[in-house]
Amino acid sequence: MANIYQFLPDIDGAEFAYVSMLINPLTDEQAQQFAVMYRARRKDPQMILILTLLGFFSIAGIQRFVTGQIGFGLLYLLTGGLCFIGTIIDLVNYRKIAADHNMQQAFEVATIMRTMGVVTAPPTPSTPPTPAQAQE
Amino acid sequence: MNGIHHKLRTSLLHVPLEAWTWTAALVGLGIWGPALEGHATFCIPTLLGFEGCWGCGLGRSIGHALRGDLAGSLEAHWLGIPAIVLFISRIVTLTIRSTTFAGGSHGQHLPIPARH
Repeated sequence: MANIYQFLPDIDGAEFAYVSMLINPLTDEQAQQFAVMYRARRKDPQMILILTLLGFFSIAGIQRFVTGQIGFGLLYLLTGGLCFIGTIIDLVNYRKIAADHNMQQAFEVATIMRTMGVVTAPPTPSTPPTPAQAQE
Repeated sequence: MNGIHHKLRTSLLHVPLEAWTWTAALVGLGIWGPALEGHATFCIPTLLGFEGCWGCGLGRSIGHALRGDLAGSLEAHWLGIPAIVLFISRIVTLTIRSTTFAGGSHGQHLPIPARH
């Protein structure tokens, strides 16, 4: 049983709930590898916030490009962040944008590890999460 | 029956704010978009006194397109129709994700990789 605080102490919210579910059945070594791969792909919410703020002064929509939403990135770029309205929405929502992207990346990392055969027999089968755990 | 209702309600509650925002924008522009022409603008740079905002006309363009007036839509802003496609695809993505990742459906359908 790997402890998420040991490997990824700085994540929180829905991302925390999801990643800890992925990490829990892993051994420490596997969790270490997961953390390394995940860190390489993860986007920090603060960076998303700064990139969003950039929309008011120069180019809008970088936060969308960075999180892989090319279509929305182009739309923001060509319309000045939907006349700043889209930029303001993203400013309110920046944590969610980061978490959304990060959970997708965590899922991909877990899938890659499994296809590489890194995740073999977990020590104990984890029990399904309770509603409270999933929501926190 | 009750179970289905409960499930639908809880999963709709988990649909993120962003999806609701885009839905509200599309519905609002579909209903009021073209009627607002010359009366009100949502463009914040214009309201602040700047001119030549790149996004001006996008709202009207979406409004026209949603009412089937494609020529009017292209005239108002060339990105109106692509924007509708992008909004809808984003709403669908967010809604599907909210029911698969943590929080949605109380985590019952978490895509945890199958174990060997």
